[in-house]
Amino acid sequence: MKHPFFVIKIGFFLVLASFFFNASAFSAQSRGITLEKTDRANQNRINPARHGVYRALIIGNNDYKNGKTPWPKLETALSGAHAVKKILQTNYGFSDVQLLENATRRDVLIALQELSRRVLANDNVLVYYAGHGYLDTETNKGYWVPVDAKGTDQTTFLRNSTIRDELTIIASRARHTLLISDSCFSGTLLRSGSRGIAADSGTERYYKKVANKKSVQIMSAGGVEFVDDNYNRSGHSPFTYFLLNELKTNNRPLLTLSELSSNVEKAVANNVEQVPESGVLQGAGDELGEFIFIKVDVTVEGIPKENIKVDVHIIPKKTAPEKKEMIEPSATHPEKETEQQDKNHRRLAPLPTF
Amino acid sequence: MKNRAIILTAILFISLVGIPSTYAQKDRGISIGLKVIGENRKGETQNSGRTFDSTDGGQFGFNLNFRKHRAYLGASFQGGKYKFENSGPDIVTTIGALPFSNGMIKYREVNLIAGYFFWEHVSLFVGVKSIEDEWENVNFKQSFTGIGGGVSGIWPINARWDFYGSAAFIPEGEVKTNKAKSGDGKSTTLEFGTVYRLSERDRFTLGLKFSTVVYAFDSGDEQEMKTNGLFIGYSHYFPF
Repeated sequence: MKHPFFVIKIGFFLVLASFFFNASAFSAQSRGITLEKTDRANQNRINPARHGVYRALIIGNNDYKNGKTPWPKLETALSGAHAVKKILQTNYGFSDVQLLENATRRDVLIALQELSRRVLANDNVLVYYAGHGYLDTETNKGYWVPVDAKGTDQTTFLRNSTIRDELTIIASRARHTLLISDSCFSGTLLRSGSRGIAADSGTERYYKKVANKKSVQIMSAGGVEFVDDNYNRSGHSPFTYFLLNELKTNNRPLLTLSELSSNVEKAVANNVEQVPESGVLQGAGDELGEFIFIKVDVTVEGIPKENIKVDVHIIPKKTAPEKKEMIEPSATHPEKETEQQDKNHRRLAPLPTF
Repeated sequence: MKNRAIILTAILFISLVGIPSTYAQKDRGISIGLKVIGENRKGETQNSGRTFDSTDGGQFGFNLNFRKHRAYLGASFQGGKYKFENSGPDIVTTIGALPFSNGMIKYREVNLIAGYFFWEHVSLFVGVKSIEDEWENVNFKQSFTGIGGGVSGIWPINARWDFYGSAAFIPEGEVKTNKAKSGDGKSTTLEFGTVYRLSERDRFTLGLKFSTVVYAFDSGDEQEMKTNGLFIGYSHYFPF
């Protein structure tokens, strides 16, 4: 303690040396999203917002315990949830995905709280809900209806304000937060209208801009209205059907929520009596950023598929088969250790001393 | 004592390498670190009642840390010199303690550690600590070697910063004077600080370390040496 100058002198030297060695790391981090051609490998490299893990909580409620009115069993909520889970993992590099099947009120709250504890800065968090919704027409309050809901006893529902509170906690930590709600009256979660698509949408500058700004967005199956359960016997609701369709057919490496919701809204409205909505969660720190879906298996015009590499940071799950499945898309990643960056922070723990 | 230490370390190494892990190819690597410690050494020799307090000094350390999933095996080496202008630690001989002042003492320390993260943020570790003090120009060396254990933890504060801490205790060790056994000793160490993650592989550490070694000589003398200091470190992780 008596000789701090010795430490300061050497420490200053170490800091300088480290900055020198890490100059390239700094420059890469400051770029955000880029689409650049590398001379060495002749590859297009998409570098998304660095360090952000894609996490999702997917909730699908089919088997309502009452089984009859007012909450009959649904046909497609669970299959929709499974399909959303699959496409997010397979096509969009979501590495931390939790699926809740036929969730009770407690299940949902616990899962949201656990998710909020896992989230780190720069993460991208998506919450998807498919199930019954409820609107109290007297108070104009909206609810999610869990499978253990008791009749119209609202205390057994999940009030929108509760969902909003949980999302606000998640959003306070994550870079981008998105709630997709496929239920009746899910539009009551919204507090502002669609922000539309910017004039420079689709440009590198645009992606860079919205990726670096915080976003807390919501996309809902409908406004204050009932929504269909099974669209043309597809096994999905119209909203989830067109959502999945857009995500499947999208061939752009980067897709913002505004772009996605615009297409889904048009497709749904053109085919059924239902108009999806999107907007921001008010008071949760939205800075006009955008949730960006990064397609893992992309094609770029004029570039052979084998020469395209998507740089997505993925944290493998603990179970071996899923881990393999998730790592596959980034098999060409040159620095696999970055996939586990935050979860395995313990590997960076200093060596204890005696 | 030496044989026990070697056997224990060998067992730990074999068990570490043999730990099955589904992350074997993903979560394995070596980190190499450097550490600068600005420390103060002070203490007291009981029978003589003389206290000591260093006026200058510090240490430079180097460590290697092999990690495989939740397990780790590490070695750290550090050393330095301490100047005692007025009152230095007594030279404790079999016939009594002799005063020492206005001189330098060379310090060397080696730690071998094996640990395992039994919980997400907390690990338990065991290991061997060996330290040696050499009184310059006096031809006197005093060493302590012991086996002990401890607990360490690391908790993320945000995406860049972590808080970490460790506590270690060696209940019994061997004290040697000029390479001949002269008593027993014990050691406690507390260390805590922050880690700044410069990148996925690089980190800075800044923290405080408090260490106490008590030498209980067969002659009946007892000497307590406290080494308290501020340190700064840098390390790089090499995954493989």
